Amino acid sequence: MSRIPPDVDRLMWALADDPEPNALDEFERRYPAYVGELGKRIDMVRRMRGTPLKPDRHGPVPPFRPVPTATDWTRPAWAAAFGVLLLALAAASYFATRWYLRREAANPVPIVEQPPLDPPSVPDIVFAPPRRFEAPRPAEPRSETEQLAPLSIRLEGVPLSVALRAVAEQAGLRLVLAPGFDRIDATVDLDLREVRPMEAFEMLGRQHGFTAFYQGNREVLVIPAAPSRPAAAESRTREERPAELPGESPPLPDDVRRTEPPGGQ
Amino acid sequence: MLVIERFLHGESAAFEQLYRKYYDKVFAIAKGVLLDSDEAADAVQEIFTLVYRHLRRFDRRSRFSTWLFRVAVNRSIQQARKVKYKARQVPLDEASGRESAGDDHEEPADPRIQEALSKLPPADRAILTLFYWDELSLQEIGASMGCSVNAAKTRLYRARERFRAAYEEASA
Repeated sequence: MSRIPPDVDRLMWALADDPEPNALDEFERRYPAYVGELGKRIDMVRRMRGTPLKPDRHGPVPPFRPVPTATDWTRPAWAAAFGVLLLALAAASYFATRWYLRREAANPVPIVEQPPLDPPSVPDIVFAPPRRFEAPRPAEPRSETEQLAPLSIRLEGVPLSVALRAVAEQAGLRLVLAPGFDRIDATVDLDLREVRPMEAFEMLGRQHGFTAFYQGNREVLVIPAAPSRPAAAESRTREERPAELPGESPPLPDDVRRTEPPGGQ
Repeated sequence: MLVIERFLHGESAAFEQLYRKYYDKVFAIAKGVLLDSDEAADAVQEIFTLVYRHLRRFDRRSRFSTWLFRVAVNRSIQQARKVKYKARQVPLDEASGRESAGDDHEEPADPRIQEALSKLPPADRAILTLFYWDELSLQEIGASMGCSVNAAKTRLYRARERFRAAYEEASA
């Protein structure tokens, strides 16, 4: 059934409650679609009103019998009695607690002497020496001279300058001979196998009195040692003069500068 | 009002008059809400006990019947919520001999009415009882249920719709 409009719905309930004939005729004329629904409601209300709710008796009304109700306890007398009971409980609790405390005070608990306790043994503490914290060092990049490929060369009875140029050429280096190098007149026999180029220069320098410096950009500078101090130059080891080792390209040492020939400049 | 004044002045017999006068009305309200004759009879005794004890609180601003019905409705609804209406297979006119009483003006009870009423909340049963059985006006119903006339009208409309739905379901 479609939804009944609210005004028609209320009108039908009013007619069901009071089915006046003229009103029913008017409703039937105006709302013929709802006549069936109105009839059902009239019948329902009639049956509802016809259902008896009166008491099942044929005689007089039964006598009035007052009964205790659930709300009787809320009457003032009961409330007062309940309050008195609460007060009595509170007073009893108070006096019982006070009596108990007094009895405890009259019979104090004896204090028992306790033997002294041994001091707790403390284990020896060994302090470890402070450890110096060292931050991890970053890996040093390989120097440029270490990146030069090893070489093998064999020469017999060649001049020193020729031998140096041969080593430089095979290593792909550009050789620069400092002024005064031509004073070194030596013949060289070389038999090198898998030796790095700067090690070859160093070895020849120790034998013939010169120092080879790697200048960078694949350039090697060869400077002859001073004539008055050849032994000093030779005695210097790699560990003592790390800054002057080949491949580190330090500034020229003072003693080397002083060995420049007078007519070199 | 005169009967009430007599009771308040200490004449116990005056209350008996009030009790006999309104017993059937109060019983109808209690039975309409509780849907059980025995429980309704017990509720009537409780209701009149309350009235007997608290009649002095009646402020006389309304009719005594309105005040009495309000007590009856509230007490019946409270009782119905307490017992949650134990569904008993006893018709409303249980063994009343109403058919044998020869009352030709009332039709025999329809079991669908009882079934539909049992599916309604107690407040709905109360307002339907006041309107259809006790035939109170909306103003009296509002006063008896402690609400305005418009509120009583709305409550009655909703209760009636719920009853119709339950009745049609019982008829199906």
